[in-house]
Amino acid sequence: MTVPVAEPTAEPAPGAPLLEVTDLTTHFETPGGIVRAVDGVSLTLERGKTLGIVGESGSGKTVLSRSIMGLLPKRGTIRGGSVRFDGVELMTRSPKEMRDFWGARMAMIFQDPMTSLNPVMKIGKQITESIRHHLDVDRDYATELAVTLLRSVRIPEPERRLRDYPHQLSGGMRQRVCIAVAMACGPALLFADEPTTALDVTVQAQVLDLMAAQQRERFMAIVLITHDLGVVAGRADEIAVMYAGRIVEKAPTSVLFTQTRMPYTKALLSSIPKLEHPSHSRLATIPGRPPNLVAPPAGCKFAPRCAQAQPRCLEEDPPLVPGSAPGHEYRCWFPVGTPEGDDALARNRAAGKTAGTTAGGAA
Amino acid sequence: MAALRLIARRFLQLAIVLLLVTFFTFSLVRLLPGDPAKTIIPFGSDQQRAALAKDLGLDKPFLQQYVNYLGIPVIKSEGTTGLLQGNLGRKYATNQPVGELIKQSLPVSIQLVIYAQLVALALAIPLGVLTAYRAGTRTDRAVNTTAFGFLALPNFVLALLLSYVIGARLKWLPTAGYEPGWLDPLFDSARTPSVEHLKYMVLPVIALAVGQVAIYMRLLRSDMIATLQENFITMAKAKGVPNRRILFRHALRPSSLTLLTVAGLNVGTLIGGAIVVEVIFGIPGMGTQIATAIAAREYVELQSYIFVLAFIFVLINFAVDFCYILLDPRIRRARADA
Ligand SMILES: Nc1ncnc2c1ncn2[C@@H]1O[C@H](COP(=O)(O)OP(=O)(O)OP(=O)(O)O)[C@@H](O)[C@H]1O
Ligand code: SF4
Ligand SMILES: [Mg+2]
Repeated sequence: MTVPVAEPTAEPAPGAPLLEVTDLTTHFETPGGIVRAVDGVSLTLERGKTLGIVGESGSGKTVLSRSIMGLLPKRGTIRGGSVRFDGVELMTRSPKEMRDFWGARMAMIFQDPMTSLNPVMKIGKQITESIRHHLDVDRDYATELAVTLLRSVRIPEPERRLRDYPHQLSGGMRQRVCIAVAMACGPALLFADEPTTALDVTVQAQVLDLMAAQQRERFMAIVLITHDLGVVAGRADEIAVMYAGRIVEKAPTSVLFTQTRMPYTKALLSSIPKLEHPSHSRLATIPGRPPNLVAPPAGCKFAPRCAQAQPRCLEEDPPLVPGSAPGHEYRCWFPVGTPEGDDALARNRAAGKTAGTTAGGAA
Repeated sequence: MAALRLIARRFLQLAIVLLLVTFFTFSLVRLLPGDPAKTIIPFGSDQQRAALAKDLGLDKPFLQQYVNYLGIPVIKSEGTTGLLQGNLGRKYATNQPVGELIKQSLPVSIQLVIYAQLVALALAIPLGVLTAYRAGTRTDRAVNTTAFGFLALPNFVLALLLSYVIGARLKWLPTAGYEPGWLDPLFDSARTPSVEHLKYMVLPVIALAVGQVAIYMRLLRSDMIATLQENFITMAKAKGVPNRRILFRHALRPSSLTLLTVAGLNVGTLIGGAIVVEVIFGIPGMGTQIATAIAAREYVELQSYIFVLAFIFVLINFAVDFCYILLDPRIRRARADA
């Protein structure tokens, strides 16, 4: 049985990347001030490729993905910049117009499968709902399609499962159902926002492999969001590291691991659990907390926590600059693995403090 | 199995509740000043009254009267008739069986309360959904202020106002009276339903329903606001499901448990309101009967009315419990495990 694909809603511009985000900002108006959750993010993604987005909790990954999809509530949200999908500008579209894209051409899988399925609606209904809405098919066909989808995400006895409620399924099974829901109309782009964080370690790999299989079959692009570099290491073609609402380093996966320039990326890398370490060994976590997004520091946002921070870092905001490998970009005045960076680190070690910690006392 | 156990437990509770209700009404009714013999023969002599009181069993000690009313055979069991035997007693003044009186008046009140409940919910549910969806906006504030304005208006004031303006001045609808509706023939086959029925019900139903709208709407609004923050709502949105469907198909059901509970409990308030509204609109329902029974010190009649209403009230709230199970499949398992 072939899975029908929703019709593209506009002529694709030939040669345009599937997703092209330029200088996207997303700010929230709150009683405490304006939260700059996403602050000037640009990225592109080709069809069939995977982009990993990595960052600590609160770095703006979820807001970024929802902002790209246009899923954030209008009230209290200020968005700027451009999001082009298949050559079509999405920023100016109303939620009503976006509904032709949501579920049909771009889909999303959420972090917590326990809460992302409607507890009072049968699994079958939750899958066929978007099929019936987007594709012009009758109920029997939609049900048949739902069974095929459940089977393709390796859910045993799919016909019976259709009549189950979410609480009758385990977490891993529920996340498979979420994948089935997302795949229902054959989207060209899938956002997976920490799809395995809430699952058992043993189930995590299964779910990620399942997504990869669906991706190959459908030539689908994936934005894989995680706080764990280890998850995206073997799966993403390119990785963007986020900090305080910005991309601080972006590179093809192997480049990011071999030519790390940004101290924050380096710190994230050292927090990946290594196979040779005993499983109970503690991860090296990055000391300190992400900055306040209402009044972020003037210079480099990472300076208060950076081992290499110099006085310049506190005053001037480092721009994104290209690295030596194609597609590599980073923000840092004293990059790791360069003489300037080594120098800065050595100086701070000798002084027993960094420019950030000295200033950090006031922050 | 679990369901059977649940039902058994419920019926035990029902028995206990009804025992308490009968005891309290029995005691309270007897605290009313005045006595029935005096109201029946206001100009009779003391001997005549004493004879009548003996006839009616009012000379017996309080507890014995209560036991007789319940129909519990204590010493001489022959001829014991009471609630247990399904005997609701007789009206002192006319010797009519109370059961017959209830057959006439109960369906009237049930219809009134059902209509009022339906109208209140029919207004409150869309308004609750709307105000939750538009929480914090001018629409939200306007709807809330209006609904609370009506809540502050006592139902008898509204009833008098409607009766005067729409009934007496504009003459659009009758100010008083009643015609049988769809439920009356089920209780008394001699009555035939009439289309006029609805005409007589409009004003009383409005008077009764309007105050409940604000209560129901606020409950639904706050639960709905919480539900709309849930991940599964964002997920539904990400599927491209239209707003209306998200609100009514995804969010309404999980948000309606509190509303259901309160709507069940609120039947008590509606019954209380119906007494007042029936008297104002001259509707021959339980409310009117209760009012006259109080005035005439018809102890037995009054006790039986309250007993029947309490019985219905408790049954409705059991039904609400079972509705939970329909609304939320997760409870099905939790209840079965309990
Ligand atoms: N609706 C909102 N109003 C105000 N601030 C918000 C809102 N949504 C998110 N934020 C803030 O934006 C920042 C980024 O949040 P976001 O959820 O995108 O982080 P994240 O990287 O996804 O983190 P996590 O790994 O915990 O999921 C946080 O500081 C958060 O408090
Ligand atoms: S070295 Fe300076 S610019 Fe580079 S990350 Fe550290 S604080 Fe930021
Ligand atoms: Mg997140």
